[in-house]
Amino acid sequence: MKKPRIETGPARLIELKGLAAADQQGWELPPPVPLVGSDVSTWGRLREKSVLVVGCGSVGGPVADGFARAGIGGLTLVDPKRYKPASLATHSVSRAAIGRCKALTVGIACKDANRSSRVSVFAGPLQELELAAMAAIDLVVMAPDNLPAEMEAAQRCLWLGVPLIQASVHGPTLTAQVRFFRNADTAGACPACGYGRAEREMLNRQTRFSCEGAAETGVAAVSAPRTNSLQALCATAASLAVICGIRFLLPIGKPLTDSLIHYCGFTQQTVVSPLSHSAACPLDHSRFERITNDGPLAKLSLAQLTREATGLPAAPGTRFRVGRAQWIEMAACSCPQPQVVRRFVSPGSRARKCERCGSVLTPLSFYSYERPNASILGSALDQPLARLGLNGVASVVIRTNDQAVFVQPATPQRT
Amino acid sequence: MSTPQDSQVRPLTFTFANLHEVPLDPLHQGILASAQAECGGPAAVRRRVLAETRDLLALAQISGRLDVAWVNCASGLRAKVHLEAPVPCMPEGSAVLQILPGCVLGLMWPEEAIFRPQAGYAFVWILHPRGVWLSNVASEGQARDCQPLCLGPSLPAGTPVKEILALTYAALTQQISQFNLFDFAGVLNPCAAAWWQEHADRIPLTREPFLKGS
Repeated sequence: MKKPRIETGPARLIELKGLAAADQQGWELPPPVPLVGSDVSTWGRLREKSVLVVGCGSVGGPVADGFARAGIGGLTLVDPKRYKPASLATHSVSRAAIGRCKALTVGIACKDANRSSRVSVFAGPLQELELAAMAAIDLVVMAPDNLPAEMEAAQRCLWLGVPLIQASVHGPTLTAQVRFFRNADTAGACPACGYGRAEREMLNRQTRFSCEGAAETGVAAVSAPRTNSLQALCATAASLAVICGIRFLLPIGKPLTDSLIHYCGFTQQTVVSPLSHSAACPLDHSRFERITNDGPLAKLSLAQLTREATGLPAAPGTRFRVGRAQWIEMAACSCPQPQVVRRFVSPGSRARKCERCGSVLTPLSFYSYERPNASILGSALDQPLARLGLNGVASVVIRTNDQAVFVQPATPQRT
Repeated sequence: MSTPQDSQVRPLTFTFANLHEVPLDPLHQGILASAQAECGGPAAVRRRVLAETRDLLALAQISGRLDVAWVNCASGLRAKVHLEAPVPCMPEGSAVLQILPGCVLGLMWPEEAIFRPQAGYAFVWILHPRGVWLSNVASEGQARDCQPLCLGPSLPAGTPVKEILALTYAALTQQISQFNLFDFAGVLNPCAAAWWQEHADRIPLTREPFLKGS
């Protein structure tokens, strides 16, 4: 029997390779029939759009499939998990898929269905995906199995102003729900605006909503009772999400506003109700101003970037998020005292060694910063990022008390 | 029945519940002011982080066992504090338990802790002394990182800094101890857990409460 491949290191965003352009001829999908009041070219607009799907399970999988078959131009799939035996009840996969990565399996199926679509997969949690990977996304659809991932997707969409669709089901009541969040401005609703005490408790207990319930979850997390709903119900939620997404992307029909589409299988009724912003929402509803820089960001210093982005010098409280890199002040090695590092370190980058003892430097958590501010960076603020350990920088977020700016290079950088 | 005059003459007793009412002395007020200047992030986050910083400084002022050496509010709250508490140590290669009178802690309260539960080992690092001999502190050989102190599998979203410090004190002095090797919650050093099971008569290391004189 073939041994499973052990993957180590952080997950990476991988674009699936398709056929060469010449080989694609004859494999292009025919567009759906023209919509009432429009011609077939309307569908062509989908080729210019990109959708990111968070969670590729029983709902997210069919969502990705639906967009791929409708002719979407770009599809990014995020899911850290693998298929389990219980997945067979709700997912359209064969027994051979058990143990395989969900994002990759769904991605391959989508690429197979629509070879002209750019399909990328990220087999890790959304929290680990570079924010820059979401900058060119037109719509995010999420159907994860845990609230932290839901909050992360909601937070990123709020910051970047990307519309978000949340699709979910409640098996016992045969209910499929789709929430649409336009994220047009900072006063709109987000998924966390609707959180009450029950959601906060589930968040604290790190509840997972899995098909297998407690049997699947590890010791550290708490599991909700098993959620393996009827496969048709999951497909209904997915179909409603895809239709809602296509309606927004083309755009067709009445303009969409923040709303909940609620379908009940017992009554066959569909109810649409508005969603509103809550002042008690735990998420940050501010919007990043987006700017692009012509050259590579690594050649610039954070002080230069701040002046370009805000027109002002960096104040002590101005803080920075440079891709997913961490600012490391000190690291441990075999020497008796920790060593001063003062560099950015990206996840998965090669470990540095101590010049004295030669052993690997391990960053000390207490002296590591995801979002260092100007006072922590000190003189490093004026040094080009390349001299601080970063060769490729995909994005920098600069945040002052009144402003948040998302800076990207004009041409995407490989980090 | 108390009168307004009574409440004016009676000295206020400060506890964990009314730390926000403690008037900060000039030293702690100065630390708070410099933290305020460096505090970044969304307004709601800044307000909460500064409120936690103020509570930490007020606790340092009234507890009689806590000194704040350094505070930074760049991204959540980070502080280096000296805590007066009996700390059991067994340096590598030694078989004799030493009880030291205090320790230097790295306290980290990430802004995500406001609305998301965090792992129990994400808040407190023991920067000094080395070789802390507790079941919920990784031994030097296991972790090259500063010794993280595990306060449980996870702490609920929004757990205040004052509660984290109270839990830390209870964990260091073993007023609360968890040394069941078969319980996943908190055992980072199985050798220390086994050792304390055999020396349970030495637990707790002190019965003094966190707030001296309370």
